[in-house]
Amino acid sequence: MQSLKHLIIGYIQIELESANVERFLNLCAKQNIEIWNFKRKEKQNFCYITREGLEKSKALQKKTHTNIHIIRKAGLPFFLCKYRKRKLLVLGFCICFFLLFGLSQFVWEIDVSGNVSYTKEDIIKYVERKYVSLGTLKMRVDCSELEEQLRVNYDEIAWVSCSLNGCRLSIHIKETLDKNTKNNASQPCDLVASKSGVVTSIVTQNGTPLVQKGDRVKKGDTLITGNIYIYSDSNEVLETHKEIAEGTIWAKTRASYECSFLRSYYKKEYKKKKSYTYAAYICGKRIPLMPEIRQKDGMDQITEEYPLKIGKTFFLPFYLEKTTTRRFDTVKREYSKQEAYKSAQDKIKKKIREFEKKGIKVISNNIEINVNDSKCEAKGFFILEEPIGKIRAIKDLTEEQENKLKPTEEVTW
Amino acid sequence: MLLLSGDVLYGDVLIRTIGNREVEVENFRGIINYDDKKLILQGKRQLIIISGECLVILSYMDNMIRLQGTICDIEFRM
Repeated sequence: MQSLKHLIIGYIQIELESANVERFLNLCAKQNIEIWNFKRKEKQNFCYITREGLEKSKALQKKTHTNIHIIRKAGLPFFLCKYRKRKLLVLGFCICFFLLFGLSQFVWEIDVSGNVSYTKEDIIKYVERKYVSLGTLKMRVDCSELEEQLRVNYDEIAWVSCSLNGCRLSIHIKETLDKNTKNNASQPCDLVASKSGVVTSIVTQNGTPLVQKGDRVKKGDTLITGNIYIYSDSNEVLETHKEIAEGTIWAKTRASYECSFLRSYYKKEYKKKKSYTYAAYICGKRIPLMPEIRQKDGMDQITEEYPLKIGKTFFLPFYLEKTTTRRFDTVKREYSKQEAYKSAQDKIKKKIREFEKKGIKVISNNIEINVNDSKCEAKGFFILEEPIGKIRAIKDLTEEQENKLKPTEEVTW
Repeated sequence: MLLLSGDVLYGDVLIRTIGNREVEVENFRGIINYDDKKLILQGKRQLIIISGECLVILSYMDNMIRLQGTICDIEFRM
């Protein structure tokens, strides 16, 4: 930070010649003249001083009979002074500044975050086609209108926020819950089991629970009903309210698993040599910078894009595209029995990770792995613990269910 | 009881070292002598002699000096 300050205000490297250098240093320190990196080499004294400090120290030089020889001048003021006669350079600076200022008034990047079911590309394509194409003036972008249109066109978007940061249009969306699991019904409903299993916990927020911990339920069974019965003292139904059943029901379920793969497989063996080609994108136009390599069989191409930007948000309409080409030979290989077994185990682990990502607990797995001469097979089932509540339109209870709900004892006063 | 440190109460010198590579001295009156092997500072009541190798004054502003080099010895002399 200090060196940046010195660069901006300008500094000078000097050599001091004096019979009493210490006195000069003391006087400079008393008058707040900044001196740094003071070195003595064989009776020669070198140090750095600010441009302003050198001016201020003239009286002290006379007082202490000190001679100062300037060795080097550095910093912005000296740079500007040196090139003051180069009008074209100044003009170049000005043009560069105005270009940067001008380009900063446009949108050069659209960023989407928070999307789950919609892809980023889909939303960007829609926004670019209908509202804000790249290169639109920032002042013409109406964020609130864009938010409104996104909400209207995408049913699953629950909340959307658009903002302009530098040259980037940031769109942050929040989607509604997945259709299969959403529990945001607006009409009275029941909660039914989405899978068969054994109930491990039930927490009812609204409605009447029909099952309890340890009960075995089948797919489609009502777990919490939206019907709320009010009984009289003689255990007869006085009133029935229909409500939106709410609650969390966890159950132990079973998920079958089957996976098989051949022991022989093809593998790409890449050659060491890589070829690189470059192209530039200027305002959406692609300009190849060198002859391109056409993709053929036995060749992989990876293209990376590097946007030119200043800081984090000031995107410029220039991209550099780098294409890496790697040639490979296809070689037939075969898993050994141990490798095939390990690969099958890895696949099972991957599946477990997938379950855990969805918030499903894996209690145990009963999967058998068989490796024969030609292929490897894994077959079995997982024991899971997962939420199984799913909404369904409200249904009247069966007689058996009603009897279950009925208070067993008469209230006596 | 208010506990004040010596540098505030009596104007003692305040010396801070970073390993044996750097020394910061505060509350002194001025430099008496300097070369690349020795720096002598005038304190309020005593002299502070810092000896070492390749001593460079990193900065010297009002009442504070930063010295860099291989510090061997810090001595107080009345």
